[in-house]
Amino acid sequence: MSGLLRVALALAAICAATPAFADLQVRMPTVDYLELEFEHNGLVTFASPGTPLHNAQSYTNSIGYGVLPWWEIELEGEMEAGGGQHLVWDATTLENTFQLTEPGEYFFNLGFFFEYSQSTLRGSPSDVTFGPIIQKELNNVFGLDTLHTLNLFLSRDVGHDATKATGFQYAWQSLIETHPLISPGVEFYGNISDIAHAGPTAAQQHYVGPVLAGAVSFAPYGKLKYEVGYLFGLTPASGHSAVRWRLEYEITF
Amino acid sequence: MRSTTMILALLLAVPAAAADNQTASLTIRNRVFEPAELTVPAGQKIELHVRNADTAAAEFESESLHREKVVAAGQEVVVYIGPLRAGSYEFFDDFNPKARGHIVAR
Repeated sequence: MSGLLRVALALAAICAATPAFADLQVRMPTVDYLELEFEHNGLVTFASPGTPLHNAQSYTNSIGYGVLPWWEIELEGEMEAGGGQHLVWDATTLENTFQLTEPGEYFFNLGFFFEYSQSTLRGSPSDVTFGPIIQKELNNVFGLDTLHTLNLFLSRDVGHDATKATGFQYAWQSLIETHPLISPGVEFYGNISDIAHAGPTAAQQHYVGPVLAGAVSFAPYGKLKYEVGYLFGLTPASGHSAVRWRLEYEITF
Repeated sequence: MRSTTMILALLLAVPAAAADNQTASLTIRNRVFEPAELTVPAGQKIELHVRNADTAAAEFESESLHREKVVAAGQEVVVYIGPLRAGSYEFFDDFNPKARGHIVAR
């Protein structure tokens, strides 16, 4: 089989299996103890007309709570639509974030993420995703404070229709903390559906692009946080580009 | 899976090498910070002990220090800040924003 044909088959398989990331965001290693949060994430991908990533959409809405100083739990509904298709509720997810270190205490801030995602679609398996969250604060870099966060997650299907594949997702965000209202930065995302058969890079999804993040405090009536990013697809399997956003309202409860 | 375990072990080993820090203390009493102005050395990491002497929970928060931490009633928490550039950094109680103070790094 020629290399070109192999790439084409791998691309077709990836595009058919994963029209878009279900949830494109960088997880933080910190827990907001006693805070109730409502979060919305959105992702729209752009690609050549007729391809699965053309105007594909993915949305999540969740409610979370910082139960303990080191444990936050979140219940999330996921909706997704391939290009030209209707949105469907495709999964209900239970997310857990464990804060392993106090911010600034050690060289890295560390956390651990674990989620179970129950598929609501027939023939589509449920899955678990887990892995470390690593963060580094670098202050006074040319007079600016910066925050760098890396997620390294593995995923595995469970239950009916599960495959034996182990997926790998990475997410990296670097922010310049210029002002609480607006901090510019850059993000990288990547997704390999099966690390044992990763295939050529062209068949994997990788994105890079700028992001703006910020927060508005209404103390003592909570805080509104936002992120908005534009991502460029780095491989044919990623499509041309994507827009992602996150809105979060948190209040102590 | 093995490589993930190794990465985690490596990362968790790094914190063991953490150096001794300067310490400072704040108390929340009658819904105000005592002292309202705290002087700390610039250029050093500070281990800030925040004690809540009240009967209601409070939250130490500072946008300029990039820190927020809930302090339950009658409890004490540790907040790590810095190393700081010389200057003044405002903090407040997110549950009672009238309670405010400054950390001055010199």
